[in-house]
Amino acid sequence: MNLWLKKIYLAVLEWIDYRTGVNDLIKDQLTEYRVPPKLNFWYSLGGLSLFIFGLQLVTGVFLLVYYVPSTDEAFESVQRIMVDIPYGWMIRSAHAAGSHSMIFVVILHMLSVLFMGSYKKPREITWLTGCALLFLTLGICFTGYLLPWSQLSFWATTVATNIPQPIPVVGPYIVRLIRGGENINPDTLNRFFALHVVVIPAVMLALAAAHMYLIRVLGISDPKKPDTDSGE
Amino acid sequence: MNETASNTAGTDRRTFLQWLISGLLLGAFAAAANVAVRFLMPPPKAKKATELSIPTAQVPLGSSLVVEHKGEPVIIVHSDVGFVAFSPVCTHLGCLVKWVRDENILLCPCHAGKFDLTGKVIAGPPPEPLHPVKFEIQNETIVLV
Repeated sequence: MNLWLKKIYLAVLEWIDYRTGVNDLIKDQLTEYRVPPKLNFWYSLGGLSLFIFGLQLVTGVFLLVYYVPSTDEAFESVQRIMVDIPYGWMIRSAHAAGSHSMIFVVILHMLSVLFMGSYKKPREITWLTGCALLFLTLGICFTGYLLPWSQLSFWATTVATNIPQPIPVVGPYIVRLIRGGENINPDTLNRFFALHVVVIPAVMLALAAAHMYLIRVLGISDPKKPDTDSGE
Repeated sequence: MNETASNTAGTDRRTFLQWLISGLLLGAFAAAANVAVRFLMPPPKAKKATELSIPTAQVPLGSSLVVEHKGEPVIIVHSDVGFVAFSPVCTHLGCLVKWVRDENILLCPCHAGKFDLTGKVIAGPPPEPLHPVKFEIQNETIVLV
């Protein structure tokens, strides 16, 4: 029976490969992809942040099923997720823990790239997309923090959106632009919601794709032979 | 030395580990699927209530009321001929009909199916009459059984 299952399995794989050429891609990019010898923990942080980002997308979509982005109902809908919905507490806690660990891992990733000099020529664009991704990660955490519309998130966002205020000339305009008003108001919640669930994740996906494309084009940097070839 | 082991009958180490890892992955996947399904599945609907009493004062002459009874909607209409009660689910494609007082008909908003107050189809695509709901009037109270 095992043999018979395997035959079908192989036939399906071959059917797909004939029409897509995906086997070559898997061979080049996965099973026979060459990396420098003696890679260690520090090389795993980029992949780890991608993994956490994926978890955030999944748990985020689940929260989106019950969350209501309105000042009247946001807090109650979050309470409903925490108390009434089966495993809601787990999904939301995972989303919160994921956001914290993503900041932690992303900063460790940046430090390792910094100290190993991996940002140097020809990897400057990879580094710059990574910097943009760091700021977007901070931005997605910042906008997500307001969404429960609790006392904590309301006042934390009040304080944080005050930060650009002292910038000469443009400061007050920036604050009003972020808040969508003089103070935190229902429009603030809606624009933060739009940024948190659509705009920032979409830009992050695109930048992460560019980041990973460049890693595959340039190869993993090897600190032991900095100026020779492009990796392989 | 490993050759002898893998040539004998039974399970070799590689096969054992493959099965073990697939089993663990499958278990993890099942646990995650359980969380996803339980999270998304709405709570079961309450079908306990056997009787529903509504004071007739809640449905004054010339008005209608939609209530939930045994997990299904019921429309009660109070017209010149008295009280009638139907399932408002249109027999065409399942939209909910409403009472149009001026024309004294039950109108389905989806494809303009029209029913009279006996439930009979008078216009539009519905293939059969509205399903009536049994009720009694006791002491100024409508009792749905």
